[in-house]
Amino acid sequence: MDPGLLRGLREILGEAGLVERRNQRVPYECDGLAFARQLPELVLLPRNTDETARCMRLLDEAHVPIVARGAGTGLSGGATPVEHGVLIGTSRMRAILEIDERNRFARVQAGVVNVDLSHAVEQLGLFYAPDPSSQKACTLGGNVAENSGGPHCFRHGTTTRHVLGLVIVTPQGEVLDLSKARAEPEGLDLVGFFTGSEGMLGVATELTLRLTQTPPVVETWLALFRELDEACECVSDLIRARAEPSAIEILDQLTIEAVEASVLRAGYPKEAGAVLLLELEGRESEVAAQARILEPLVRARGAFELRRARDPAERTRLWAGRKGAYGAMGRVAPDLYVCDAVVPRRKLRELVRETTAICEARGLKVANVFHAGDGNLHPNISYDRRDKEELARVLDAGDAILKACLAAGGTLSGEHGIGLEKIGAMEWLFTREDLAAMCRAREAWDPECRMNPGKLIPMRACMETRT
Amino acid sequence: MSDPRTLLEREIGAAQVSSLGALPLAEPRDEEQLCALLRLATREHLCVLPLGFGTKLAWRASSVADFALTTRALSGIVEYEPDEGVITARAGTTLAHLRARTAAERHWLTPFVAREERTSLGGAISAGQSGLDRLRFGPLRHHVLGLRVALGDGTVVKSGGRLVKNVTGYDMHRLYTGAHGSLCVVLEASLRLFSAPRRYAWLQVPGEGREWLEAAWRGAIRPLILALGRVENGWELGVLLGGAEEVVAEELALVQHAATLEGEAALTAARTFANTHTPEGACTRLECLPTGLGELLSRARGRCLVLPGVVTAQIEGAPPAAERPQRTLDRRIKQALDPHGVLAEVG
Ligand SMILES: Cc1cc2nc3c(=O)[nH]c(=O)nc-3n(C[C@H](O)[C@H](O)[C@H](O)COP(=O)(O)OP(=O)(O)OC[C@H]3O[C@@H](n4cnc5c(N)ncnc54)[C@H](O)[C@@H]3O)c2cc1C
Repeated sequence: MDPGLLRGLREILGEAGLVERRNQRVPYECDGLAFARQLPELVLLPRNTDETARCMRLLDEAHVPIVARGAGTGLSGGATPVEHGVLIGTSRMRAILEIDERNRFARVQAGVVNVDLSHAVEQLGLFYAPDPSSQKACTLGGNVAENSGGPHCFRHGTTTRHVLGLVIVTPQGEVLDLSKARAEPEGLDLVGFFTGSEGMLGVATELTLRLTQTPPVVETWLALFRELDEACECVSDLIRARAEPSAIEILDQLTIEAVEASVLRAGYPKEAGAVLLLELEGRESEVAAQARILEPLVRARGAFELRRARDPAERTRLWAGRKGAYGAMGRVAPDLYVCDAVVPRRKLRELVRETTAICEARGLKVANVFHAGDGNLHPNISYDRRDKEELARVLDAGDAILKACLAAGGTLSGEHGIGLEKIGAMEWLFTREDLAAMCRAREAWDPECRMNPGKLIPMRACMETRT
Repeated sequence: MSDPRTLLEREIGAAQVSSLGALPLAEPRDEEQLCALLRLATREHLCVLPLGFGTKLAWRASSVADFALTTRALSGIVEYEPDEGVITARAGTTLAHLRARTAAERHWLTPFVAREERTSLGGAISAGQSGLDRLRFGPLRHHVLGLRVALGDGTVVKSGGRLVKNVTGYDMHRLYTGAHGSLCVVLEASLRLFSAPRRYAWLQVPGEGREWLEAAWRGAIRPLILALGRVENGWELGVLLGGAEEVVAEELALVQHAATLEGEAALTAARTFANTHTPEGACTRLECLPTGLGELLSRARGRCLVLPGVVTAQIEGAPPAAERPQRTLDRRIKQALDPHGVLAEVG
């Protein structure tokens, strides 16, 4: 790193804002995509928009590549550092700046952890709706960059529906203040476009987020099936019946075993081949009306038991088990490859079967825990990253799963993003022209492509736009 | 050099070229012709104003163009699997057609807007037109799942898809939605659908309907439609309740209002309300936070439709020049996606 640049950055951030020592940089070398690693040259930890902007101006002058990082829980390598690049972490941007109870929004710094926002507004009868399973760790800035989802996004929509405004520091170090909560964008919808752009257009430093009213009644239901097939069919039935619960999740037997064997033991019955976890919310009459649609459908599909969580404590346990499932699976093998793909909801059973067959044919152990109501599959493959041969089989299975989903009219990612992981697959879905348009839009923000280079858009497509 | 009209007639035949005021108006039969026209415009350095039925032209400040191009003839549903809850249709399809088709399968289509028989899907998306059902479902841009569009040079590109959840690639459709045709011509769009309620009840109340707004904001009622329209000496509120039998019954009991219309009559009344209050000509959009509603109402003159939520109002009158900020980034995006400047700028 150029000593002049380093001096400049130190002047802005002070010692506490720089991570220089090699051993201290090691924790930043990967995100949740554990097999992709790169040591960052330097890690910057600014405290606010101004510090971020001043740093980014210096990095712009020096043409240094930048990768933003929240909590590093991303699963597609979005926060994997790049060679000769600097990492900008938001871990010192943890302030909740404003809570407007009457207008139901909050302004927060990008490093605020997802669940902390809901906790902060709980007393007001409000919550922040998008609830990724990683919500106890992941940052709201990371959620915005990935347009993250969560179980309750079935009803409330993914992150993008909850972002009212942003402050963005552009790759040139300019501050783009779009923080005012707006109904409709002024000019182009830059906030909407930035959301889900995987950290490639700039660093979001402040977020204006919509808060949702806590529903008066919430009921959590468990439907137990002997077969995973039946649970999948049941979800397709629910969609067909226009049922609108707030969450529709499936956990298969392997997942249940892992959860029940862990500290998160929630009381999921081990004899079930699959559990359908449903949540209903609203006023009492609304919940009752929903229940009347659900119950016969679930029974008709052969559920051998249908029960309601008895009290809030049981409900909390069931959700903690669901959200902790990945962690619980850590007991099964040292590493977990979480595939993320979407399929049409009327084809759930067929595709879950096919993905399972793909893994089994490669001698891999797969567990399913997924956002069934949105058609968002998560086949989770256990492996050991030190075993190169096994890793190769895992990646091959991942590709085969994506191809099967595409062939059925599905897509590459429902919530984890493309990042490094699926960059090669982008050309299976998009034409050269599609990708070129994305490249050009990106270059309008970042002509040097210095923000998170080498992610999401295959290099070849970018080269072509320039020639 | 030939004049635009002659060039257009040569390209697609005189029968498909009419007029929009002083502008020649081309009506391509299909995507192929549409793209050929854009290539022609690129070659001849002509500037194109894309439109559907042209009803929202006044929403964008006037702009210079050599010819207008309507996607009206590109109509029809491309895919509708009722069991998936997604519909894909060509840009010229009217919202009225889409609503009728989806209602038959117990789906609710958002946005619910005025004059849907003269509102094309592509036009509504390009204008970023949210509906009277905005409080319940949010803005239209949240429900556009994917688009196929023609860029200024006639290249066809897509983003998003036909799935309810999808983060694959940039959401280019978020840039195109509300861009008023300045970045691309929408060819085909996929929308998310919602469940249609079992029972509808419509009521129209004179005044600002404070207690209704209050009840909706509290969640005591969850109306499908909630909008304020200006009348002679004040305001009237239109409310379409919708849901299961007992849910609607409970809401009606709560607000103690007997004078209601139900079923098809309720929907017809909602349409009439929308048509009466939505400005037809030049129109300004104002917005405010929920707590600023009172102040916004006091500023409104003439025909005016107010949609609560984060409040947005469509108010009749010429758009003030300063409405749309010309941000550097907007300009750079325009330049990147339409480098030859084929598509008319906004304002
Ligand atoms: C156990 C587990 C469960 C998970 N469950 C879910 C789930 O249910 N739903 C879901 O959607 N995801 C889930 N994820 C994935 C992950 O948690 C989300 O993608 C999350 O949003 C990432 O947040 P982060 O703060 O960790 O971001 P990081 O991993 O640090 O970064 C993610 C991306 O965002 C960019 N970025 C981060 N901060 C900013 C910023 N301020 N400005 C611009 N770009 C930025 C980074 O460059 C990177 O590209 C899960 C992950 C794990 C490990």
